[in-house]
Amino acid sequence: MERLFIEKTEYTPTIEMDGSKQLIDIRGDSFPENTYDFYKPVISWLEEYFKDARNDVTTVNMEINYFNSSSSQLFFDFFDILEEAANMGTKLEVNWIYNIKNESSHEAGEDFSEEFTSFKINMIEK
Amino acid sequence: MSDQELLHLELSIDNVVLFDFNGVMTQNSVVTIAKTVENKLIKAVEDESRVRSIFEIIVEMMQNILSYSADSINLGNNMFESRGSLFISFQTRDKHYNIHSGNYVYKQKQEGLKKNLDEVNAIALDEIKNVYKERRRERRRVHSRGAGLGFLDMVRKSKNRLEYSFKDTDEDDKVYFELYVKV
Repeated sequence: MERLFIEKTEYTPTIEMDGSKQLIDIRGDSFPENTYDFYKPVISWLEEYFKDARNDVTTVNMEINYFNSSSSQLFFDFFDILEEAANMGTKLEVNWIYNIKNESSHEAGEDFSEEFTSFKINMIEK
Repeated sequence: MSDQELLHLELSIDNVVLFDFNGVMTQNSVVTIAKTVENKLIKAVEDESRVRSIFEIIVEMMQNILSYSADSINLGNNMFESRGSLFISFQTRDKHYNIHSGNYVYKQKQEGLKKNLDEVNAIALDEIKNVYKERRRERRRVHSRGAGLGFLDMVRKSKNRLEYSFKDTDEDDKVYFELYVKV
Protein backbone atom coordinates (compact mmCIF):
# COMPACT_ATOMS: atom_id res chain seq x y z
CA MET A 1 0.00 0.00 0.00
CA GLU A 2 1.08 3.58 -0.64
CA ARG A 3 2.47 5.32 2.40
CA LEU A 4 0.16 8.09 3.58
CA PHE A 5 1.78 11.11 5.17
CA ILE A 6 -0.03 14.31 6.11
CA GLU A 7 1.99 17.13 7.64
CA LYS A 8 0.45 18.76 10.69
CA THR A 9 -1.31 22.13 10.64
CA GLU A 10 -2.48 24.37 13.47
CA TYR A 11 -5.64 22.32 13.77
CA THR A 12 -4.84 18.89 12.33
CA PRO A 13 -2.28 16.31 13.48
CA THR A 14 0.72 14.76 11.72
CA ILE A 15 -0.48 11.53 10.21
CA GLU A 16 1.77 8.73 9.09
CA MET A 17 0.41 5.45 7.77
CA ASP A 18 3.08 3.10 6.54
CA GLY A 19 2.16 -0.39 5.38
CA SER A 20 5.77 -1.50 4.96
CA LYS A 21 6.50 -0.69 8.62
CA GLN A 22 3.05 -1.75 9.87
CA LEU A 23 2.84 1.61 11.53
CA ILE A 24 0.05 4.12 12.05
CA ASP A 25 1.07 7.28 13.86
CA ILE A 26 -1.15 10.26 14.62
CA ARG A 27 0.16 13.16 16.70
CA GLY A 28 -1.02 16.69 17.39
CA ASP A 29 -4.30 18.56 17.74
CA SER A 30 -7.45 17.75 15.85
CA PHE A 31 -10.08 20.40 15.27
CA PRO A 32 -10.55 20.72 11.53
CA GLU A 33 -13.63 22.47 10.19
CA ASN A 34 -14.90 19.47 8.29
CA THR A 35 -13.61 16.44 10.13
CA TYR A 36 -15.13 13.85 7.83
CA ASP A 37 -13.59 15.41 4.71
CA PHE A 38 -10.18 15.78 6.33
CA TYR A 39 -9.97 12.21 7.59
CA LYS A 40 -11.52 10.53 4.53
CA PRO A 41 -8.15 9.42 3.10
CA VAL A 42 -7.12 8.16 6.55
CA ILE A 43 -10.26 6.09 6.96
CA SER A 44 -10.00 4.76 3.39
CA TRP A 45 -6.38 3.77 3.97
CA LEU A 46 -7.29 2.07 7.21
CA GLU A 47 -10.17 0.12 5.70
CA GLU A 48 -8.00 -1.03 2.80
CA TYR A 49 -5.08 -1.99 5.07
CA PHE A 50 -7.24 -4.04 7.42
CA LYS A 51 -9.68 -5.47 4.90
CA ASP A 52 -8.22 -8.96 5.28
CA ALA A 53 -6.85 -10.54 8.46
CA ARG A 54 -3.11 -9.92 8.85
CA ASN A 55 -0.31 -12.15 10.16
CA ASP A 56 1.92 -9.34 11.39
CA VAL A 57 1.57 -6.91 14.30
CA THR A 58 0.49 -3.37 13.49
CA THR A 59 1.49 -0.56 15.82
CA VAL A 60 -0.91 2.35 16.26
CA ASN A 61 0.40 5.39 18.11
CA MET A 62 -1.98 8.19 18.97
CA GLU A 63 -0.87 11.30 20.76
CA ILE A 64 -3.70 13.78 20.54
CA ASN A 65 -3.44 16.88 22.66
CA TYR A 66 -6.82 18.41 21.94
CA PHE A 67 -9.65 17.23 19.72
CA ASN A 68 -13.04 18.76 19.02
CA SER A 69 -16.32 16.88 19.32
CA SER A 70 -16.46 15.85 15.66
CA SER A 71 -12.92 14.47 15.95
CA SER A 72 -14.07 12.50 18.98
CA GLN A 73 -16.63 10.83 16.72
CA LEU A 74 -14.00 10.26 14.06
CA PHE A 75 -11.58 8.58 16.48
CA PHE A 76 -14.42 6.41 17.71
CA ASP A 77 -15.03 5.29 14.11
CA PHE A 78 -11.27 4.80 13.71
CA PHE A 79 -11.12 2.49 16.74
CA ASP A 80 -14.21 0.73 15.45
CA ILE A 81 -12.26 -0.28 12.35
CA LEU A 82 -9.38 -1.46 14.56
CA GLU A 83 -11.83 -3.51 16.58
CA GLU A 84 -13.16 -5.21 13.46
CA ALA A 85 -9.58 -6.06 12.49
CA ALA A 86 -8.88 -7.44 15.96
CA ASN A 87 -12.05 -9.53 15.78
CA MET A 88 -10.74 -11.04 12.53
CA GLY A 89 -7.58 -12.09 14.34
CA THR A 90 -5.25 -9.25 13.35
CA LYS A 91 -2.76 -8.36 16.08
CA LEU A 92 -2.50 -4.75 17.18
CA GLU A 93 -0.34 -2.74 19.52
CA VAL A 94 -2.27 0.41 20.27
CA ASN A 95 -0.71 3.19 22.28
CA TRP A 96 -2.59 6.25 23.57
CA ILE A 97 0.08 8.73 24.55
CA TYR A 98 -0.81 11.72 26.70
CA ASN A 99 0.90 14.42 28.68
CA ILE A 100 0.77 13.90 32.43
CA LYS A 101 -0.87 17.34 32.83
CA ASN A 102 -3.52 16.70 30.18
CA GLU A 103 -6.37 15.19 32.12
CA SER A 104 -8.74 15.52 29.12
CA SER A 105 -6.53 13.40 26.91
CA HIS A 106 -5.96 10.87 29.68
CA GLU A 107 -9.70 10.54 30.21
CA ALA A 108 -10.41 10.27 26.48
CA GLY A 109 -7.95 7.39 26.19
CA GLU A 110 -9.51 5.61 29.16
CA ASP A 111 -12.97 6.08 27.62
CA PHE A 112 -11.87 4.54 24.32
CA SER A 113 -10.26 1.72 26.26
CA GLU A 114 -13.59 0.92 27.90
CA GLU A 115 -15.49 1.05 24.59
CA PHE A 116 -13.22 -1.22 22.61
CA THR A 117 -12.39 -4.50 24.22
CA SER A 118 -11.11 -6.70 21.38
CA PHE A 119 -7.70 -5.09 21.67
CA LYS A 120 -5.77 -3.41 24.42
CA ILE A 121 -5.06 0.31 24.41
CA ASN A 122 -1.82 1.00 26.25
CA MET A 123 -2.02 4.26 28.19
CA ILE A 124 1.38 5.90 27.93
CA GLU A 125 2.12 8.89 30.10
CA LYS A 126 4.71 11.43 28.95
CA MET B 1 -15.80 60.24 44.80
CA SER B 2 -19.60 60.42 44.95
CA ASP B 3 -21.76 57.38 45.77
CA GLN B 4 -22.91 57.27 42.18
CA GLU B 5 -19.36 57.40 40.84
CA LEU B 6 -18.38 54.63 43.23
CA LEU B 7 -21.30 52.49 42.09
CA HIS B 8 -20.35 53.00 38.44
CA LEU B 9 -16.77 52.06 39.19
CA GLU B 10 -17.91 48.93 41.04
CA LEU B 11 -20.16 47.90 38.16
CA SER B 12 -17.49 48.48 35.58
CA ILE B 13 -14.87 46.36 37.29
CA ASP B 14 -17.40 43.71 38.21
CA ASN B 15 -17.27 42.32 34.71
CA VAL B 16 -13.91 42.29 32.99
CA VAL B 17 -14.11 42.09 29.23
CA LEU B 18 -11.55 39.65 27.89
CA PHE B 19 -12.55 39.39 24.30
CA ASP B 20 -15.04 41.08 22.00
CA PHE B 21 -15.43 40.07 18.37
CA ASN B 22 -18.16 40.83 15.89
CA GLY B 23 -17.47 40.16 12.24
CA VAL B 24 -16.76 37.54 9.67
CA MET B 25 -15.15 34.36 10.94
CA THR B 26 -13.48 31.40 9.27
CA GLN B 27 -11.62 28.35 10.50
CA ASN B 28 -8.49 30.51 10.72
CA SER B 29 -10.37 32.90 12.98
CA VAL B 30 -11.25 29.95 15.20
CA VAL B 31 -7.60 29.09 15.70
CA THR B 32 -6.45 32.68 16.11
CA ILE B 33 -9.20 33.61 18.54
CA ALA B 34 -9.00 30.45 20.64
CA LYS B 35 -5.22 30.85 20.93
CA THR B 36 -5.43 34.58 21.67
CA VAL B 37 -7.83 33.99 24.53
CA GLU B 38 -5.78 31.02 25.73
CA ASN B 39 -2.62 33.14 25.85
CA LYS B 40 -4.41 35.91 27.68
CA LEU B 41 -5.65 33.49 30.32
CA ILE B 42 -2.28 31.77 30.68
CA LYS B 43 -0.67 35.20 31.23
CA ALA B 44 -3.29 35.88 33.91
CA VAL B 45 -2.16 32.62 35.52
CA GLU B 46 -5.56 31.02 35.23
CA ASP B 47 -5.90 27.35 36.17
CA GLU B 48 -4.67 25.11 33.32
CA SER B 49 -7.72 22.88 33.06
CA ARG B 50 -10.01 25.90 33.06
CA VAL B 51 -8.01 27.49 30.23
CA ARG B 52 -8.31 24.26 28.30
CA SER B 53 -12.09 24.09 28.83
CA ILE B 54 -12.49 27.66 27.63
CA PHE B 55 -10.33 26.99 24.56
CA GLU B 56 -12.40 23.93 23.71
CA ILE B 57 -15.74 25.68 24.21
CA ILE B 58 -14.64 28.57 21.99
CA VAL B 59 -13.75 26.10 19.22
CA GLU B 60 -17.10 24.29 19.51
CA MET B 61 -19.12 27.52 19.54
CA MET B 62 -17.30 29.06 16.60
CA GLN B 63 -17.37 25.91 14.52
CA ASN B 64 -21.11 25.67 15.17
CA ILE B 65 -21.45 29.15 13.71
CA LEU B 66 -19.48 28.14 10.62
CA SER B 67 -21.60 25.04 10.17
CA TYR B 68 -25.07 26.24 11.04
CA SER B 69 -25.39 30.00 10.75
CA ALA B 70 -27.79 31.48 8.20
CA ASP B 71 -24.94 33.67 6.97
CA SER B 72 -22.57 30.81 6.35
CA ILE B 73 -21.00 30.98 2.90
CA ASN B 74 -19.25 28.00 1.31
CA LEU B 75 -15.82 29.19 0.21
CA GLY B 76 -15.32 25.98 -1.73
CA ASN B 77 -13.93 22.71 -0.39
CA ASN B 78 -16.56 22.68 2.33
CA MET B 79 -14.80 25.48 4.19
CA PHE B 80 -17.10 28.25 5.35
CA GLU B 81 -17.11 31.82 6.48
CA SER B 82 -19.86 33.47 8.49
CA ARG B 83 -20.82 36.60 10.33
CA GLY B 84 -20.94 35.99 14.04
CA SER B 85 -19.97 37.36 17.39
CA LEU B 86 -18.03 36.13 20.39
CA PHE B 87 -17.84 37.92 23.71
CA ILE B 88 -15.91 36.69 26.72
CA SER B 89 -15.94 38.30 30.11
CA PHE B 90 -14.95 37.46 33.64
CA GLN B 91 -17.41 38.01 36.46
CA THR B 92 -15.16 39.09 39.31
CA ARG B 93 -17.73 38.59 42.02
CA ASP B 94 -18.55 34.92 41.33
CA LYS B 95 -15.23 34.33 39.62
CA HIS B 96 -16.58 32.69 36.51
CA TYR B 97 -16.15 33.30 32.81
CA ASN B 98 -19.03 34.06 30.50
CA ILE B 99 -18.60 32.93 26.93
CA HIS B 100 -21.28 34.37 24.70
CA SER B 101 -21.70 33.75 21.00
CA GLY B 102 -24.20 35.19 18.56
CA ASN B 103 -25.21 34.41 15.01
CA TYR B 104 -28.16 34.55 12.66
CA VAL B 105 -30.13 31.37 12.07
CA TYR B 106 -33.05 30.69 9.76
CA LYS B 107 -36.35 31.00 11.58
CA GLN B 108 -37.35 27.50 10.46
CA LYS B 109 -34.31 26.10 12.31
CA GLN B 110 -35.25 27.77 15.58
CA GLU B 111 -37.55 25.05 16.84
CA GLY B 112 -35.11 22.22 16.18
CA LEU B 113 -32.26 24.14 17.75
CA LYS B 114 -34.31 24.97 20.83
CA LYS B 115 -35.30 21.33 21.12
CA ASN B 116 -31.65 20.18 21.01
CA LEU B 117 -30.65 22.70 23.65
CA ASP B 118 -33.56 21.87 25.93
CA GLU B 119 -32.79 18.16 25.61
CA VAL B 120 -29.16 18.67 26.56
CA ASN B 121 -30.16 20.92 29.45
CA ALA B 122 -32.56 18.29 30.75
CA ILE B 123 -29.78 15.78 31.28
CA ALA B 124 -28.46 15.52 34.84
CA LEU B 125 -24.90 16.86 34.95
CA ASP B 126 -23.51 13.60 36.30
CA GLU B 127 -25.13 11.76 33.38
CA ILE B 128 -23.71 13.98 30.64
CA LYS B 129 -20.63 11.88 30.02
CA ASN B 130 -22.71 8.71 29.65
CA VAL B 131 -25.09 10.37 27.22
CA TYR B 132 -22.12 11.72 25.25
CA LYS B 133 -20.62 8.25 24.95
CA GLU B 134 -23.99 6.71 24.07
CA ARG B 135 -24.61 9.25 21.31
CA ARG B 136 -21.12 8.69 19.93
CA ARG B 137 -21.82 4.95 19.81
CA GLU B 138 -25.15 5.52 18.09
CA ARG B 139 -23.56 7.72 15.42
CA ARG B 140 -20.92 5.15 14.59
CA ARG B 141 -19.89 5.60 10.92
CA VAL B 142 -22.67 8.11 10.21
CA HIS B 143 -20.30 10.48 8.38
CA SER B 144 -21.67 13.97 8.77
CA ARG B 145 -19.91 17.30 8.95
CA GLY B 146 -20.46 17.78 12.65
CA ALA B 147 -21.21 15.01 15.08
CA GLY B 148 -24.19 16.35 17.06
CA LEU B 149 -21.99 16.21 20.14
CA GLY B 150 -21.13 19.90 20.39
CA PHE B 151 -23.71 21.00 22.96
CA LEU B 152 -23.10 17.94 25.09
CA ASP B 153 -19.41 18.71 24.97
CA MET B 154 -19.99 22.30 26.09
CA VAL B 155 -22.03 21.19 29.09
CA ARG B 156 -19.52 18.50 29.91
CA LYS B 157 -16.63 20.95 29.93
CA SER B 158 -18.35 23.89 31.61
CA LYS B 159 -20.34 21.76 34.05
CA ASN B 160 -23.20 24.23 33.60
CA ARG B 161 -26.45 24.41 31.69
CA LEU B 162 -26.50 26.25 28.39
CA GLU B 163 -28.43 29.49 28.31
CA TYR B 164 -29.74 30.86 25.08
CA SER B 165 -32.08 33.36 23.46
CA PHE B 166 -33.64 34.00 20.09
CA LYS B 167 -34.37 37.55 19.00
CA ASP B 168 -36.42 38.69 16.02
CA THR B 169 -34.52 40.62 13.40
CA ASP B 170 -35.53 42.91 10.58
CA GLU B 171 -34.99 40.01 8.19
CA ASP B 172 -38.25 38.03 8.05
CA ASP B 173 -36.64 34.64 7.63
CA LYS B 174 -33.91 35.03 10.25
CA VAL B 175 -33.62 35.27 14.02
CA TYR B 176 -30.58 36.12 16.11
CA PHE B 177 -29.43 33.22 18.24
CA GLU B 178 -27.30 33.80 21.30
CA LEU B 179 -25.64 31.12 23.37
CA TYR B 180 -24.19 31.66 26.83
CA VAL B 181 -21.81 29.27 28.50
CA LYS B 182 -20.56 29.84 32.01
CA VAL B 183 -17.21 28.37 32.98
